[in-house]
Amino acid sequence: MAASIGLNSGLRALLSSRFVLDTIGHNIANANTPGYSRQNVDLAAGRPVFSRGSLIGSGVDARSVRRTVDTLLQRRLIGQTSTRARLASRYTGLTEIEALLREPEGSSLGARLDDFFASASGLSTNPTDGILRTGLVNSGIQLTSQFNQLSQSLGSIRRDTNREVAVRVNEVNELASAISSLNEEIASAKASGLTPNDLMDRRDLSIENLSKLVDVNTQMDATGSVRILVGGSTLVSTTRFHAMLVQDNTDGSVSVGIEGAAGSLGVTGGALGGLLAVAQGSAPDLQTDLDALARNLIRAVNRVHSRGIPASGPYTSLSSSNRLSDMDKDGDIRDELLSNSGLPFDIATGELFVNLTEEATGFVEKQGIAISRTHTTVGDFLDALSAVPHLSADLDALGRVQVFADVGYGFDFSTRLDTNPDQIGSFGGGEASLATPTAGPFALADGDTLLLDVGGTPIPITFTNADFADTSQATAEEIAAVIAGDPTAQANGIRAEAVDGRVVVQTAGAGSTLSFDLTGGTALAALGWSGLSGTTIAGHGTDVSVEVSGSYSGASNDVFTFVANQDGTIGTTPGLTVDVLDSSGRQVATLDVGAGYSPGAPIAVGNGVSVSFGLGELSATHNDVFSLDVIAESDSADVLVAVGLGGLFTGSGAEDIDLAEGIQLDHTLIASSTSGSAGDNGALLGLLDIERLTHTDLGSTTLGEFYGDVVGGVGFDLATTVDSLDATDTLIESLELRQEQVSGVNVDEELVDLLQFEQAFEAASRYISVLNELNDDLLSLL
Amino acid sequence: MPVRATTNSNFQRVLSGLRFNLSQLVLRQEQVATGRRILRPSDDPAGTSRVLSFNRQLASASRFIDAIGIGRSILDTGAVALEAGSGALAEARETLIQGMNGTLAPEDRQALATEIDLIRLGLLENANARSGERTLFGGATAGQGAYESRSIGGRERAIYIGSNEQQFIRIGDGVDVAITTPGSSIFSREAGAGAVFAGLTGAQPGSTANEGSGYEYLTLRHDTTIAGTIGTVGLALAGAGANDTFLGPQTLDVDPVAGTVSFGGGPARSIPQAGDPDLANFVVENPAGGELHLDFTGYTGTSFNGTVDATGSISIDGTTFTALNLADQNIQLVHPESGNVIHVDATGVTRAGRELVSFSGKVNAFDALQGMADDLRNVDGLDHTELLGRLDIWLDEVDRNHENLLVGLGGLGSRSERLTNTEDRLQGMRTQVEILRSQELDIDFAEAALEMARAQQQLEIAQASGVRLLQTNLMNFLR
Repeated sequence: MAASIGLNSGLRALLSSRFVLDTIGHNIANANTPGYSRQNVDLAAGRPVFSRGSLIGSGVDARSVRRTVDTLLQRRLIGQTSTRARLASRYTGLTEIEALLREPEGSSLGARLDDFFASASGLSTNPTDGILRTGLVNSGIQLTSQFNQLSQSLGSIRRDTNREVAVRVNEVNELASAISSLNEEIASAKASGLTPNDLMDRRDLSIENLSKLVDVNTQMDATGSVRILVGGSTLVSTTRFHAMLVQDNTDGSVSVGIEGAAGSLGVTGGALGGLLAVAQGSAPDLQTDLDALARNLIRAVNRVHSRGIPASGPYTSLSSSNRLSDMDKDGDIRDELLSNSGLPFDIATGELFVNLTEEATGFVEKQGIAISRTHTTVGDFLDALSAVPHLSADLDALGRVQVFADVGYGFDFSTRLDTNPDQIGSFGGGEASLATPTAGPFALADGDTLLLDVGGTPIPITFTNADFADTSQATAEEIAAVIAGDPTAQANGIRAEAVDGRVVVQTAGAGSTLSFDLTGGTALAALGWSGLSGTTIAGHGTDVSVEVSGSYSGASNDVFTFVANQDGTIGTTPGLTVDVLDSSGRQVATLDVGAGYSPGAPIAVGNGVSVSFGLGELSATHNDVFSLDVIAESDSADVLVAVGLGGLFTGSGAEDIDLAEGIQLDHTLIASSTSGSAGDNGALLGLLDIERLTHTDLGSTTLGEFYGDVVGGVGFDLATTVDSLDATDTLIESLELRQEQVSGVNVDEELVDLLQFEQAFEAASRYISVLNELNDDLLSLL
Repeated sequence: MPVRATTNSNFQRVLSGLRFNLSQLVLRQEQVATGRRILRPSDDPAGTSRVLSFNRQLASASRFIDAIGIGRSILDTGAVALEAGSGALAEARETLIQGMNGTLAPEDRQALATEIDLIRLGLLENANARSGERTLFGGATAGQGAYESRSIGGRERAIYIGSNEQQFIRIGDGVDVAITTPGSSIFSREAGAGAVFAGLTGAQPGSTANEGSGYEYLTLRHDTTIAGTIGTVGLALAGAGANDTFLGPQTLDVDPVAGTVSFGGGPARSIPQAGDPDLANFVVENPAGGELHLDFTGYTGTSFNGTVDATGSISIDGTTFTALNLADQNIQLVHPESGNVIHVDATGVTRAGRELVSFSGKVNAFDALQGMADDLRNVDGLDHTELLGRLDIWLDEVDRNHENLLVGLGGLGSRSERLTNTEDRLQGMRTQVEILRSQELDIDFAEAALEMARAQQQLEIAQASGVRLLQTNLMNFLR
């Protein structure tokens, strides 16, 4: 029995040593295998045997082969691997974006922006120089091309990123599938009481690889299966895996989801997380910034340009660059609110001033068009433009606004002054003229009359309620329309106009032989003409020519009304003055045009405006009056920018910004002037102002500052990513080293173990040999 | 606890060390090769933002400096033209003063007039000076001169065809400087003081103001002499009064006792005697020089003191005449071409002739020279005193215009100086910004070279030590 125990112990020692030697061989063989964890054989002394009253040891048992793994460390490593992959992926995307910007040196958008303003500055020194004009056109094209190119490249990066997302999702699914299979095999082996170390190593490696793609959360169950959650959803369950899917979003971006689960996954880690951050964050953010930059540039430049006048003179026709849309789809664009007609820029409530120039005389007539954000329809706008004498406006088939001037006329939207504001001759003109002493409204009553007489022919005019919106608040326009529309008045050469809220009745012709009588009527009191009943209003042989010069430098739009303080002759009558009132009735200036005034000499009114009066007679009795629109802002509604009339740029963002096609073909259409003189550079100086203009949309920064912030932001993002990547690398390196310390194979160690167990094997063999000899000795006694 | 090194970790360590040191070497090499510390925004985002800001400042300064260069060239060209113009007006003044010399023969004055004509042409050339495409004194007009010489009413007049706008260039944020001055404020700057009548005919400004610029010649024509009662003493009108130049009722006083005859209070002459060559065409003049031609052939020798009257006509253009009502204090005359309006008080008129009416303060330099030349030619045959009356007007106008020109010249000079000062400041600023930009953007070569050498050394050490580590193995000692 004792011999048997000894032999058994020797055999067990032999087998155990051999087992350990096999494991050492396995370790050495896998010393460089990724994911391999060093294996150790658990040796234990054999259960003792009771023999002759004592417990005798039965040798050694190789109980199991164990992986040396620190699961906590492994989990941390998986987390950091995921983070690193995300950063690396983000780094790649941002590097591409950074390269697009070509900063801080090179052919960048910033350099093109500077070039554009440099060209505008160059042209401002000589606005009629064709080469400089072409220079501005070219730098405008280069600037817009740079915007387009950046936008397209960003689009390309987004599309490439989307494609890469799809590839990565496939990789995720392959790994998930592999992990799911390994789960099954491991569970099966464990159920059989086996320890599938190598399968577990392979699964761990797959999970680590998966963590390079997405951020994973692993949960181990009792059977040894691993459940993997991504963004809160199960990717791999204990029994199966759920495929990850790419979802295309309407804005061109992509997101990912899990088969069978609603909504998108919030993937924040791994390469996929990094890619989605670029596809959904960095690239679109930069696109948004570029769009904002382009949009503000377009708006600011077009605001200036549309208010300018081309070197070739006022426009004879204009076509809008933006299209108006039939938003309610009723087949009629005209009934759309102008502010809701699909235009890329907002419209405010304000006023648009149109200047109509008669080419032959150079006379400018200024007309204001009220625009309401909440009321003005496309039709109203077109009708108001068409109501400007010698101007017509309509929509073309594509929904673009077309504005045309009659032959011999031109139009513009500048702030220039009407140089001949008294075209109807109500201020000492040749026409016999009578104005109301004050502006309306006038408190008329239904049936009130105004009795005029021309050469013995009575002209009775009756005002009825039908003529007015509110007869007791009759406006000058309404009253003038009634008088001017009276057939008898028309037949006898009497017309009426409204001048800044005052009613002016006058003869159609001019000359000292023309006159009319104010014979009475019940409306006289309301019109302020009670004292004039029975008087004759006669024309003049010489009409006072009123000429305005200069440019208005006031801060806000206003109307200056000029009235004479007494009857008299310009340059002759002592004490003859002209009072200038603003729209609130405040006296702006008193102009001395009496004795000592040299007729025709300009007199300063203020705010850059001068006026001169030619020889002739003024009548305070007949309330001689004329008004002058002084415009600081000719388009307070911003309608020109919104519709795209007279802009230097077209489009509304980085993708579609372009230099107006007409200007590309004909540089004389660059609106360089604000005064109308070909050599004037007012609009160009206005363009230069844009550079230091801050934009609310851009966080109250200038265009250049905003661009600098965008570039700095991309650089900062990238630099932060690089720093984080470095830090993560260091951490991963440290974790990997610690993992190596625990799970790695040291060949030298294994060689030492090899020697140790080789010797153990030899010792066991010797022991068996000794036992054998003992047996032989015993047998020889028999 | 001692570190448990494994075969893999040894390789990883060596690899990682090599990678890091190599990347450092590559980075330093790139910096040394390009000379730049910031090659891309992520190298130093905050530095990049500053570099972009510096770039904008430099671009802006370059723009201003470029504009200043062009602006100064325009201002200086303008100043040269105005200096030449100033010289021309000074020369014209000297010539005029020569022309005022009473001893000068008419042909000498003709020569001076020709000289003035040439000066006027030279001055017009100066006023129409260009710098490239730009007319220097044409305001904001383009492709045309500032002044155009036109024949109006038979006289050459220089008309300003430019605009009254100044052209500005931008030399700083929101700072504009005018680089042109409209000719209307240099060569034709107006300081209206009303119409001035030279005083030849006795016509005066009417009660109503006048309107216009430059000058006009009013032609007062003698039409008919009304002899009155001179026939009672045997006197008659020579040539039926066709050669008379007086206008209005005036007293003829024939005093046989004193033996003199005088007209309108003018200088007394001896009564002609039979045989005198001018007996049939004896001319007496009133104080204004208005002539009455008398035929003394039938003179009875008795005294006469009575009124002789003459009617006349008046014209502003020398073509269309209207009857002259000598009682009218406010005759309105409108020149059909120039549009000038003159009101005439005819109550003081005593003679016919061409009356110079200048719109004092509104005669431009060229018209003043033109008038000066016209009057030096003395086509109206004025005597020296009458001539001086006219030339004095021109002298005043030339002096006024010369002063305007000098003021304009001073303006150009001061603006040019301002541009120079601004350019100096901008150049200084540009240099400063370039230094700051370089400090942000560029590497310190010495430092970079040192860093590169260090990186190289580090890499070599890593390589050498790595090899040592990897080569050491228990296998080497196992037999």
